[in-house]
Amino acid sequence: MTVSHAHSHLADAVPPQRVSFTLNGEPRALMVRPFRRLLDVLRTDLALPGTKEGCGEGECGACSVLIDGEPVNACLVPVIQCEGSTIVTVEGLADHAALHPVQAAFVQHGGAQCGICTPGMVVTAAWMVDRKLDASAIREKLSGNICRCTGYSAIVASVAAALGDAKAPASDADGADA
Amino acid sequence: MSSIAHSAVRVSRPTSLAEALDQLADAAVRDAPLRPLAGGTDIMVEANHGGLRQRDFLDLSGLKAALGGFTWAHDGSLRIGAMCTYATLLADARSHAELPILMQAAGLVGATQIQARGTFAGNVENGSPAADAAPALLALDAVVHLQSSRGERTVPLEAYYTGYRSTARRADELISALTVPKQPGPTREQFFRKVGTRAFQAITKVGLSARITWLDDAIADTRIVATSMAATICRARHLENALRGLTTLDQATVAGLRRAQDADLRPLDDVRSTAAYRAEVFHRLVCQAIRETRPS
Repeated sequence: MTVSHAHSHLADAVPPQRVSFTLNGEPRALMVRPFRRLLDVLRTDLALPGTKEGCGEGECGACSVLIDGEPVNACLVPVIQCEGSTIVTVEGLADHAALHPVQAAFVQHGGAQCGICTPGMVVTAAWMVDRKLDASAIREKLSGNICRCTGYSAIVASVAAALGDAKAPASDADGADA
Repeated sequence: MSSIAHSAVRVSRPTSLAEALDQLADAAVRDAPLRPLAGGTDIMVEANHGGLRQRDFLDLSGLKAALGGFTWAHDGSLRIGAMCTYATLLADARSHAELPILMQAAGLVGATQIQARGTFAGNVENGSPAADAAPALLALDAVVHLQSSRGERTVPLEAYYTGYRSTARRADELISALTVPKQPGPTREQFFRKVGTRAFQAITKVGLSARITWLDDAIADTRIVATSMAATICRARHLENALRGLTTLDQATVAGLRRAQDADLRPLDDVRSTAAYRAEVFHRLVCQAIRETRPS
């Protein structure tokens, strides 16, 4: 785990700058050091720990959030680049008590195991639902979200269900995942 | 020199191209150049792993109106703005129809999240010898547009790399766009193959981007671009010369191609692969490209 802010040399720190964006539907304005990772700002400054850190290098997708409707790795976004943008985290998907269809599908199909990859999987899948992608694209479009439990069959089945593909298998007999 | 912490990085975020170019020029005069920051998918990895050496960045995210997107010109060339992401161009049907190797390369950069953020220009400027999109651009004869407060100049991508991760860009210049000219032949003549541990989220062990122009049964002209085979992505000139006029892939011809390749490319052993594997696989990819691009 990378804890970048813990290594800050405060003597070298640059002054905070104002950054404004819309987060889960609410306008926010913060004073933050410009190069801090969006991931840290979300988890630490904004108390939204749903977005997880896995690899810290844009490979695992655990920190996926939507910026202007596109899934991105929050560990690779310096917060200043969020100026004027619209951000949705996993906390912003549900409509109050009503789960997002992707969340409901993950519950119904057992799409979560240890849970670390789940928020990122759900965020990327929500983008797929929004784009009305075909279920045949699931494995390729989810290839930037890695499940260390290798629970891909149930994840793919959950996403397929959310995409409305009733034909999707509940699991792969051979367990082979892309 | 130790790495620089995120909290110590200074970032300027201009909202007009003129402002950006003025800031680059001022910083260059002070001999404290600003490093342009586009999608951040390479620079943030450096920063997160303690490899950052620069402290001053010019963030281009406020210039998406000026530098984003792409345009097809009347002459059939494609101009890719400096802030055009892989995802943006991947949504363009004409790019798939005319520049399939560029689309194959873009579709294999990282995965969905990286493609939403990463830019073609950033991939070119980053200068990795294992780049995905830059080799395809080189095989397609792309040119780099460099803008500064003094004006614009154009450098062929072929002449852009001056050494390992070093480019022809001057400290006061910014890549404003890349242009891919209209291609001379059918798309069948384009070939791209990335060999890595797996398709997505993997860095290239060895790769070939090629354009092989056939005249009847003989090769008339080629662009043979090697990835992860030298300090920069590069064209293999001896190999290109050896291919000109080639009609068949008999044993003697194949051996000659390998000798020409070895004159051009001396790959290294490193964490991702070995020199011997790279050389052998690259050779086989060249033979595959010849077979697959040949008119039927």
